Amino acid sequence: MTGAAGGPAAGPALTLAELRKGERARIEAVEGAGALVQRLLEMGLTAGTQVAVVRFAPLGDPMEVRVRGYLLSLRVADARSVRVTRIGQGPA
Amino acid sequence: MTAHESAPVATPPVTGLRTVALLGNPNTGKTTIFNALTGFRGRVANYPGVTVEKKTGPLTGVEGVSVLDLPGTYSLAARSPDEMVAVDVLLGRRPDTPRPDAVVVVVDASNLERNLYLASQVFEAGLPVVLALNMTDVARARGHEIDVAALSAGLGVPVVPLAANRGEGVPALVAAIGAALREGLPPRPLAAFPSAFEAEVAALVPVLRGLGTGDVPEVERRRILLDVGGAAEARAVAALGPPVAAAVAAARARLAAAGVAVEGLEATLRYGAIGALTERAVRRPEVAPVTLTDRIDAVLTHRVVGSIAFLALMTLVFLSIFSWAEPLMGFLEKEVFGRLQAFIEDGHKLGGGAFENLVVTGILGGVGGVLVFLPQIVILFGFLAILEDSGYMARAAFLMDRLLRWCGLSGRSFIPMLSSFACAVPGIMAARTIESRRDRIATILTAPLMSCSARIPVYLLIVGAFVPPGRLLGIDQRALLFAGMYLLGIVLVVPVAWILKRTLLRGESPPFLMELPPYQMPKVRAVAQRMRSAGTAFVVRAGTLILATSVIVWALSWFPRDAEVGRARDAVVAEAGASLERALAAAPTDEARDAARTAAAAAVEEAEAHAAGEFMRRSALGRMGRAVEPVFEPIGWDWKVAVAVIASFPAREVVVGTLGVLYDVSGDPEESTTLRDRLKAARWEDGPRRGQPVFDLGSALALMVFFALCLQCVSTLAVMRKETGTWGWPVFAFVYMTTLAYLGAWLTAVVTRALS
Repeated sequence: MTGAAGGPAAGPALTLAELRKGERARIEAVEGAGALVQRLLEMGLTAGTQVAVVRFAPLGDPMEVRVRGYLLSLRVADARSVRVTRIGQGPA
Repeated sequence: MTAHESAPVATPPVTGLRTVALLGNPNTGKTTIFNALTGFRGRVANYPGVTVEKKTGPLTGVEGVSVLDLPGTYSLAARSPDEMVAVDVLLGRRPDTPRPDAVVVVVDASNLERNLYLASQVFEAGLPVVLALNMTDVARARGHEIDVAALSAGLGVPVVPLAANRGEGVPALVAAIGAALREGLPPRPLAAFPSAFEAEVAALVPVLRGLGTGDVPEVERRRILLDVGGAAEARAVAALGPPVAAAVAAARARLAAAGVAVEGLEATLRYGAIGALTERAVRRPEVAPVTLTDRIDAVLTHRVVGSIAFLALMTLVFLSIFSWAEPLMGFLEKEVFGRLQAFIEDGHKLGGGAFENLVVTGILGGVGGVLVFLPQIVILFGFLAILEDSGYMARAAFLMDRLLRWCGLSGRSFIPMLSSFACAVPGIMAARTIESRRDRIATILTAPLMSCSARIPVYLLIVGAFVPPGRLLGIDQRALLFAGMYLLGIVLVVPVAWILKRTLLRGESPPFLMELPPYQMPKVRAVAQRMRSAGTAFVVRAGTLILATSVIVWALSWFPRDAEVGRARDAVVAEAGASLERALAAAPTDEARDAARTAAAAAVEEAEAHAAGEFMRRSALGRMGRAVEPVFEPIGWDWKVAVAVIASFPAREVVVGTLGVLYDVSGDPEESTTLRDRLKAARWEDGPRRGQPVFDLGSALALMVFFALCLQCVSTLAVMRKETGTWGWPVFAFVYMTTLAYLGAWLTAVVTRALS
């Protein structure tokens, strides 16, 4: 996986994993290769799509996001493959 | 054909037997539509070689049409042979299934974009397509306005709006299927791929010659090229060798150089085309309204409240299979099979010989052993159906995922594991809900480590006989040991699953991407259907095998029948009768006569018990026990324990009864305290330890650990075979658990002896 090392929650390398509950973002790219990226794309997390973080599970992982009008649960580690730009608060 | 509702049958009949396939994302109401189309007459089978269920049923209202329900999927990009089934069926590449003549793609109207992704893939399969636009009621409630005509025109296929949950739109769907079968044409592709890509797809034809019969269909070639490391590519390389891998890699490299890398290409193109279409055909409110699902989720997935609700619900599920099923199981065991057995044995209605014993012990015992699981299976599947149909199952997996990741599993494994505390059989069947094949097999292989209810009699016997009452750290030490046995299995799942996922089940697990579907009210009829089919599948397919094994073990314990033992017993019984006669004649009072009768009855019972033990000792099973005695010697068990272990292969709890027979206990050994006393009194009959007790605390605790960890349960093995589609996994599970059990027992014996 490329460029998914995490890092501070700001700047150009922001990923879906670093968003907080209630934040909205636009997907810039899904990075890397393999089954994870293909599945993320198939589930509609393509570049330009808006996502909103609905909540995190009680143990902090996985997370739940709203994308293309439905609710999707994914693990925080997997969400690091999704590069985003924050666009605000509130439901998508 | 029974008339279910009044579907429009004005259309002329379709000639010949035709098949229509039903395909769609999970949670689109596909099963509801299947049930509506077939009038609940679906049959479930398995595709050979994979663990995918094959559901078919006759179409109500049109003669000669079979409906085939394909597994729910988000995409035709298959990552495993299981996922490849849908692609192969659509292309007519499965010898066990005819190629469908038309496809109904079921889509969720409230979630159109993601659902149309799969539809656009199906458009390229060369079959007529009908789009079943389901859940229009949900979409309307969310303020989505769908222009059905514009959607149909844009897609180039008939679009039938439905609210299948309310039965709306089904007749129109039947009519559309009839029309598609008569005069339908494959639609044009929705998404246009670049010409460079199409050229590479065409160039693969000669490369793939020899894969199946005829030219490899275009859809499969696309999948080989698009799905890096996918099932289509893997199969082609496995069949045709490295040149194919090289050719595919070269084609991908050329495409990447031309600026159309295959990674992400498909999703970008398809979602691009879908976006353009929904722009025209769907109007959605700017701000999505807060739905009922959002409000329920705010509670049920809440950090505190949600966790409590989850625990409460799981306790309910667990108690239901543990204690609600118990009376039913007891009823079947005692009132039905017990009475039947007693009825036959009372007065030896079948002659009292080998045949009677075969019927009573082998067949009735075996059938009873099968049917006794039914209440648990049916109740659990009722709960599973409700949890799944309501949408809660995905929430449970969401809540539990983090915990189960410790052993490399996902949240989906929680319910199968929990159910296995009652019984591994329904637990393993519940593993069907796990999408990832590797996770499913890892769950199936580790589920029997959970202490099921059949272990309880063994635990009770040993704890009762060898652990004195008392307190350890202020807690009843018997209860502590009991809990320890449960903990042992749980703790072992972590390393076992961890090792499995890194060895036999190594490889990329599909990512844990899971839709949290909108909550819905489960339908009683659908729940009943699931309960019925789970019960039938178990009885028919696992039951026959369980019965056969019970009969074999019975035969081993009955033959050869040493006539001398019978004669010796008869002599004792006759002698007891004669001495009773004499005593009765000489007895001065009624009390003395009663005492004489009691003494005679006891003598007869003693003789019967002794003969039963002696028969067992001289049977094939007894000889096997003696042969394997050296294996169990390090643990400190004599051949009788060895026999009991072998005899309990059909079911763990049999060990208690067998020990009873071998140690000459009369009466019901499960309830009797005399078995405990006999075990305590048991001495080695020969060898260096002759005269010493067989059971010290070490070898007794070892027996308990052995039965906590072994896989002495033919029902579990049969269900594993059924659910994994091969004998390999149950054999592996048996070997690894028996090894664990043996090592665990040995370690327990050694450590206990060193400590005491």
